Order: sequence, then structure tokens, then C-alpha cells
Amino acid sequence: MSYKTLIDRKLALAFKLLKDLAEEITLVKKSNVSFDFENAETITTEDASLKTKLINVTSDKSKTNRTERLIMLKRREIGDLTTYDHLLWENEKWTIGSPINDDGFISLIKIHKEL
Amino acid sequence: MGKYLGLESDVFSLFNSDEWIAENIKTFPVNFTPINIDNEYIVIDIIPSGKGLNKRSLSGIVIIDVYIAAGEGPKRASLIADILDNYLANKSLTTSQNVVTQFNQSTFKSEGIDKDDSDLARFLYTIPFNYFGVE
Repeated sequence: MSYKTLIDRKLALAFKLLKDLAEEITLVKKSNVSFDFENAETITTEDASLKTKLINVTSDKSKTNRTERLIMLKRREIGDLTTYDHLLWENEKWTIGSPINDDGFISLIKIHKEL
Repeated sequence: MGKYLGLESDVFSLFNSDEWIAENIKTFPVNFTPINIDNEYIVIDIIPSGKGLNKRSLSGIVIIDVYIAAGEGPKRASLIADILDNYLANKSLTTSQNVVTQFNQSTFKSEGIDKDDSDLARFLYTIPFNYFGVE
């Protein structure tokens, strides 16, 4: 077994052992994004949803008009994220900010929700 | 339509033309994040930064970042700059709103390897303009 596979398996086990601390969410990914110069707007199509689990690392931080959280996700499950993707968590839509850390196995990402 | 949106719309119309699309150069505006693209594209930024020649005009500059694959020399970027010149340098755009965007001479220079993506080399194509007929 390769080290990569071994680490991914241990990671899956760690998320399992965390029980309800690892919360299920839906990641909505846009695989096709283009810009329409006629109407000057971004066109996103081909939503692909996948169920995954996250670990909420920090408590909510409220800024002027939005709430911010820091979350941990399994890198291989989520693939590459873009600014057009979003999360559905606790029946609410969270936009994805810049990744804080990404070591190829775990992604530490800031997410935001409008208040 | 306001003067800034009008200007943007006029310049964008150029990059929405059949002729430009046939050039097969991936083109995006600023504040757009392209995904799943090859190592060649351009990004357009329109900066209406200056006063015009009279009350009914304004001036500015269009900055176009030209990205090509790193390590392959400047030839392809220079070719793209020449293609841009064919559409912009000393050309005028007239729209149905009776306003005219008049471009001047361009400049072009290398900015080295892109700091966000080392697979890309970035070149800077700039061209000043005057925009006449502003209400």
C-alpha cells in the first residue's frame, strides 16, 4: 500500500472517529464557467453536487455583514475548488474563501455566509 | 447607461465580435476567474482614469494581461499583441449611442513569470484611449 493511500485511509478513520464533530455537507461545484461579453456577466453551468464531511475548526467570526468560519476538508474528496463553488451546510449557502493551508490531504479553508 | 458602463460595453463589444472570436484567443475581463483553461489567455482591464479633451469626453487606458506558457520565449505573446493592435491601435469604435472610443498607440512589455502561477509568463499590452460623447 502506498503512503498516500495509507494517509487517506487514516484520514477517513480520523473523520469517522470524530463522529458528529465531522458534519455532513453538500459541496456544489461549477465545472464550466465562462464570461458573456454581450451581457457582461459570468455564466456558470454544470453543477455537480457531492456529499462530504467537514470539521468546523473555529467558532463563528462575525464581520460587518457576514459570518466567517474556518473548516477542514479531505482534499482528495473535494478536488480543486474555485470561487464559483459553494457549500450547503445547516440548510444555508456558504461561499468559499481562500485556502489557508493545503498539504494535498487536508484543506483548511475560510468560508463565508451573508448575514 | 452611465459613462463607465457605456465605455465597458463598447470595449466588450469588440471582444464579442465574430472576428475576434475567430482569432481563438481566450479572453476574460478582470474580476473573472477562468477555470479549466490552457496556458494561453488574455485579461482585459479598462481604466477610465483621466480627464478628456472637453466636457463631453474622458480618457484612460486599456490594460491587457497576455498570458502564455512559461519558458517558450516571447514570440507567441508578440503575435497576440500584434493581433490586438489590428483591432485597437489607432482604431475608433462607434456605437449606437453616438459615442466614440478612439484608441491611440499601444505599448507592450514582458512582466516575467506570473507570480500566482509559475507555468505562465505574463506580458503587458497597454493602449490609451479617449472616449467622446459622454453625457
